[in-house]
Amino acid sequence: MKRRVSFIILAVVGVVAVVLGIKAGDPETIHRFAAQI
Amino acid sequence: MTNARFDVSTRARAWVFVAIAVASAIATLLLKFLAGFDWGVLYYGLASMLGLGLFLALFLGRPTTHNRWLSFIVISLTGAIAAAFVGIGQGLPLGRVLLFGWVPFTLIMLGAVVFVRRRVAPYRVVQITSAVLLNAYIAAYAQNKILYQGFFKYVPEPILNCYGGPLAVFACPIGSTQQMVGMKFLPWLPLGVLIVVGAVVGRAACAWLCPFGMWQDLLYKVKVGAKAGNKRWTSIAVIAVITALIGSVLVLLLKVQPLRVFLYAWLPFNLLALAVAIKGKLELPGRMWLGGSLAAVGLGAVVWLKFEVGYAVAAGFIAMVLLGLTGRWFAAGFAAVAGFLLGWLGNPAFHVGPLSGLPLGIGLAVAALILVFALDVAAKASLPSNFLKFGVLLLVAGVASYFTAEPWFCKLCPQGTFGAGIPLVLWDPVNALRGLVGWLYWVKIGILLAFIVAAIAIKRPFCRVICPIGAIYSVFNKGSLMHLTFEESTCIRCGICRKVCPMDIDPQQSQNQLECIRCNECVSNCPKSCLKFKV
Repeated sequence: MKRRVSFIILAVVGVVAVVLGIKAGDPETIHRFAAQI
Repeated sequence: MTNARFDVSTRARAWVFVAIAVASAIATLLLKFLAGFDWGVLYYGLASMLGLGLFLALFLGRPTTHNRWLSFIVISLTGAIAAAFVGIGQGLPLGRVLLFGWVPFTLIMLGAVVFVRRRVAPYRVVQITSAVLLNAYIAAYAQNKILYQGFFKYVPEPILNCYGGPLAVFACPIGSTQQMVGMKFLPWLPLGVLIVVGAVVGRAACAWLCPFGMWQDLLYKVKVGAKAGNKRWTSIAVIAVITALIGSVLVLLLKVQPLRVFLYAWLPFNLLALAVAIKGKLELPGRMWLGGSLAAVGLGAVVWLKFEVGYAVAAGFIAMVLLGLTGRWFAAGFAAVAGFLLGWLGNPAFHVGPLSGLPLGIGLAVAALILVFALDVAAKASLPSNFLKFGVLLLVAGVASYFTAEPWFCKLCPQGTFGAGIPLVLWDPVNALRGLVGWLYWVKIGILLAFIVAAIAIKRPFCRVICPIGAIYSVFNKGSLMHLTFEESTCIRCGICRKVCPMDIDPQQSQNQLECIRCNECVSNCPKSCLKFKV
């Protein structure tokens, strides 16, 4: 039960972080560095 | 191993082929429609993956002579057909396609047929497939492009694989994090990806997806030590010849002086490899003196005050690596050597004459020794050596990147050197990169060589001591949905679980510790089925 709760909290935090990152334009920032030498 | 338990059924092998075929087809369509890849290049990748799938389906668990050679012929022919697609269909130079695509792939498969005589672990199959898929941009070689710049470079992968590599398809999360930290942004997306994956499967990506983990696993298979008998001398001879060939390439392509390659790369590397061949397999030191760790940071700080931040981070990083791998006494010696070489080789005066940087090198070596011993006497506290990766994450990938706006872990990362630094400089299609080679490049090569030797002697040294992504994932092991369970009452204490563990942990002691990478080997090898993964 404890593990399930910690998983749900972590998964929510992770998904929120991914959504915030996409909204903040992280993919474009990452691409700028990842696609150049 | 000839135990019947390791045989894989025909149905399971058929599923392996179907899974790889479906995954390849999906990857092909994604690459075509989302990333705009060329059909010819994709045919090549698809045919190679199908060949690999068939090879594994025939080979997995049934290493009979008949199947081995039949599977090799299949992979060779599919590769040749794929090469013809690219060469004739797309008007690309057939010689280059064959040389850089078909020949290495076929040679790897030939090596597997000749040398692998026992069960192949499921995670190894996925690991190899992942290494190919994460580094599938063969268009780089086929079409003379230096780097993939399409859709997938917007996406951080959940594992360490340098995005600067000419074959890399995705973005490295730790490289992205450092770049964003340097720009004073919060790295939401890369950290979010790691948190989601860690929450579900803990550190499983380290076993099942990481190409650098795969190389370390394979290096640990090199036979060394008294138990290996005469095979250890064969190992050391093969290593000496391979490193001599690589050294020759450096001399011919980079115009490095042969004496320098011999003295600073070939000789120390082969002496270390010889020491490992004599000594045999080793365990990581369990504890690391806090004083030694502070010495590593102190060494970096001293070099920073005297010179520049690059030397400082490199010196501190090297000292931390050596402390983690060897413990304080050896580390003191190694830190002195590292300080000496940095002072000597890194000094611009070195280029005037080979002895002109000597006083600086000696000064740094003495400073490193005094720091290590003084701080060890002052601070007797110790930490588990695998905690060092948190130091690397915070100090090298975090603090150093934040204050200097440079991705310092990337600059020193041995995976980056192997996947990007070396191939880019050797290939250099734009004739610009070889001119950029400086002191840091040689430091990177030195770190890579140290990890190659360490991986022959110790199970996954980079993952356990240094990897910042491993550090992030490891904290999720305690709370991840997928977790390991142990039934103590049925355990007969045979120790097989510890023996087969690629991270050298004992699953009987603690099932969800920081280092468990959920490879499933302890579970599938336990004769009493005491260990199980549960969700």
